[in-house]
Amino acid sequence: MSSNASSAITATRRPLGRRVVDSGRAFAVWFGTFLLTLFGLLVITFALGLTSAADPALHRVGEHASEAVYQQARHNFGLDQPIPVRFANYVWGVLHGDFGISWSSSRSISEDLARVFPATVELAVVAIIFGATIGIALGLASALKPRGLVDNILRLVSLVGYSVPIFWLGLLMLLIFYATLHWAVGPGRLDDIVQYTITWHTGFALIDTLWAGDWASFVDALAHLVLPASVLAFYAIAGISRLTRAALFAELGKDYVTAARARGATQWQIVMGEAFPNVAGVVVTIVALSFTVLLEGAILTETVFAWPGLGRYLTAAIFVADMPAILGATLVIGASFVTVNAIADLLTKLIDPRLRT
Amino acid sequence: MTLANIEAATTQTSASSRRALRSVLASKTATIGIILIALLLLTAALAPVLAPYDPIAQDINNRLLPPSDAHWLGTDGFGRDMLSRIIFGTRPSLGLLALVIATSLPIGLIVGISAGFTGGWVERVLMRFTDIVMAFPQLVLALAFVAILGPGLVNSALALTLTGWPAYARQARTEAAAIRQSDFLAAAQMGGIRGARLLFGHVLPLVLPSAIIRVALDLGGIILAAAALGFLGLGVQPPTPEWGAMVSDGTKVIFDQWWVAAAPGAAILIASLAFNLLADGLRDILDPRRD
Amino acid sequence: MTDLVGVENLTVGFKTAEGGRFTAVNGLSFAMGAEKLGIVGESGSGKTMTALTLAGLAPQAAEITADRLEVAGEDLRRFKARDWPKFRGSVVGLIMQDPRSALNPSLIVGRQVEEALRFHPRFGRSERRDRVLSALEAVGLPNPKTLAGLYPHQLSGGMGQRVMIATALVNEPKLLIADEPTSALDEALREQVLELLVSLVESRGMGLILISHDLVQVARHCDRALVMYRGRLVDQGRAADLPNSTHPYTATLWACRPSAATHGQLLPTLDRTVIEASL
Repeated sequence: MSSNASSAITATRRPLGRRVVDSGRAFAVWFGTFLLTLFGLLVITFALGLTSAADPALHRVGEHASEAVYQQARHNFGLDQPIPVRFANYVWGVLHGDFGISWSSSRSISEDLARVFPATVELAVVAIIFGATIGIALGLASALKPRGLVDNILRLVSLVGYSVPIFWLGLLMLLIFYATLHWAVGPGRLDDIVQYTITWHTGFALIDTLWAGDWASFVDALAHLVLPASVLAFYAIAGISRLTRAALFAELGKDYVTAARARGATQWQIVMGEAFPNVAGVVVTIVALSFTVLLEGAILTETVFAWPGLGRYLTAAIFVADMPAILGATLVIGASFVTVNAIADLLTKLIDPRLRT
Repeated sequence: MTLANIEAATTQTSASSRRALRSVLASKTATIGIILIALLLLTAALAPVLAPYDPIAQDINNRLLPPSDAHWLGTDGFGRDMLSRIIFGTRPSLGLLALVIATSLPIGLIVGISAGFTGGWVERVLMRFTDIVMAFPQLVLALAFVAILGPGLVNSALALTLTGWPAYARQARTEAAAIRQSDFLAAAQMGGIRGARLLFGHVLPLVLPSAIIRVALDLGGIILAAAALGFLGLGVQPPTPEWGAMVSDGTKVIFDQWWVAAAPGAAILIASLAFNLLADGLRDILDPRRD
Repeated sequence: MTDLVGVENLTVGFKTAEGGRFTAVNGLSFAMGAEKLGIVGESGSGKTMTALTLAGLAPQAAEITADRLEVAGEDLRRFKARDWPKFRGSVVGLIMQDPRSALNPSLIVGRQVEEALRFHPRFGRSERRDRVLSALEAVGLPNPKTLAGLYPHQLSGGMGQRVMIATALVNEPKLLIADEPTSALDEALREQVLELLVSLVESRGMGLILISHDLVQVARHCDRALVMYRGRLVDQGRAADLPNSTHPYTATLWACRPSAATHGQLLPTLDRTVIEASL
């Protein structure tokens, strides 16, 4: 009997070598899909640039330039090349961090993007920390008492959260907490004084102020973050709490939960100790997907809160029809979105308990 | 594009959808949603009758008036009646919604049915393409698209369609693949029905009900996306009243005449909520684990 | 002598979606001491619902009435929600049908066996650990220390069910309810696991309720048997007498069991009119 049983252990464990090969193949497929998606994004932004009625050469030389000057500009931009060559040049440029020159500011777009991107990431990261904490807590609380008070409130909150236009919510929050109650500071990322004294290292205001040991500036940065991050977080809470709840409820109907109840588990022990470990992977995926949603939501939030991030950069570029800036910003937001999506996908695969041996 | 989409993507709508449609009215949230949607449609249809004023008539002497008996929701920066503008604002919102669905659903169905029904490498290529498009950020691409093609109702709808169809394609593929294996289809093929007639006469009717339900889950999100485009100045152009653009107008005076932004935003919230209530009811009915 | 389990006129019903009522258990009465009681019947006969009711695990929607419903002197009818966790896992233990679904896939085996001890804190950490290891050893599992660190998907079905038995026995409940404990296992393993279960119950002086559709199994391993049909108790007696029952339902069930001896022959079918008439 005993030899029989111990062989059963090894029989269900696949040989290490095969597991490595399997996971290597799965990783290759994942990475291939990721690259393909990024490539697709490049195709789309390139095609958008082609479709655009705006002519970079004409923009450069002006409408009154002679035909020869105009043709020279076209040649310099590579616009006289066949489209596949132009695409290759475009991809080559992007890979080398060359997004072109802004039409409105005549600055390098990659430098602009490097400056505004950390502001967006900082906002979204703080928001996802708020949102995930509150969202997961709400999901757990409603599973502790199905159809109870918290559960019903959650249903309402998530319905409103799905339905509220975030730019309008941001305006109302500014109106209430800044203009009326004076609890929060106004729009912007930093007070003017801090703005010009801060030394940027990472581009993240919270980190750079701490780095400099400038406590007052750190508090200022945090104070400016609270309102926009809360608005963005609310946007995420609806989805995170609701999907966490749904995942937990699905577990609560399973046999192992009944078995644990039969061993004397309370509802708290069931939810926290039995069901949650099984949905942890799903919850990580939910949070990662919500982060992509926040990246998009940040575009609208930044516009309302005058937050000098990627979203406001994009909307400002749209306003003045600054084509290279629009395409560059779209590409960077799109690539971040695609990357987070891919990471969420990979996490889902990694956290599958059957692969965790 | 919204969290609702993520949730919708995780909600399986399946063959039980016919039965579900019947029990929609048994759900309280769905019923409230349907009533609100009916009111919205009625408002849009009867806008000229319901609106007390001309929505684009400017009156410089009556700018930014607070809500009163004459102007229930006050007036905007051009002295236009807010209530009338909000009533007329149902039209571009619902119109855009209809346009987006009218384009993205057929694309999704064609791609999905072709993939699921053909199988093999066609299916693999189509579905990989679908997955890739699904991984794109919808609002950002829509912004770029409209920024380049020019603002307006049709371009906004096209932009949202561009990234909106993959969810329907995925669902249609799953169902078409299941139908491909079924006996009744073999019978139809033996009866000499082939090609487009088989796909659209026999497969489409079976795939359609759950596709429609899948669309219903997205409607609230589309309303919000459309409003966002309007807010950024990329939607229907002035002076046509559009809710998102109206909120944007109100931004300049938010601290002094807050109602100019608050009222159209509330209209967006109510419209989106109406569709999300319906979706919520549908999701409850479709969830096999419902207690 | 006080009964370990005393049930009188137990009825468990549900409202159906169409507004009707479905009665899963109908007027059931029985009593048992520290013995091995088999409850047999087809699926839908109410045997599992009876077992779940005794552990307070019937679905929320169930409407339960009884003139008497006692386990180890506790009146279950008076239990409030917070009384159940103290009772389950200490007075009554449950073994479920399929170890593949009844073991938590995310928790190691040792932790799941330890649960009944952790949920009713009586012992310190090291004492609990010793008890877990001896429980795993008692159910015939090799290398308890290694095994305690494995996840359920690394176990075979037979080992999984032994682990299930260990989770139920580790806190030494007075009554063990086993709901089809061997139906998910291969034929060859069934007898082994059941013999183990019976010997553990006997050596600890516990009561056992064995829910089964397998009359032979009950006849071989139990002291007494109850036969249920459509929520009612239709026949009862010594388990060993099951083959000789004169009740038409029991007799047909017995005759229906497929075996090598009946290979190639049509099995008798149940004449439901006779049974309905005899109720």
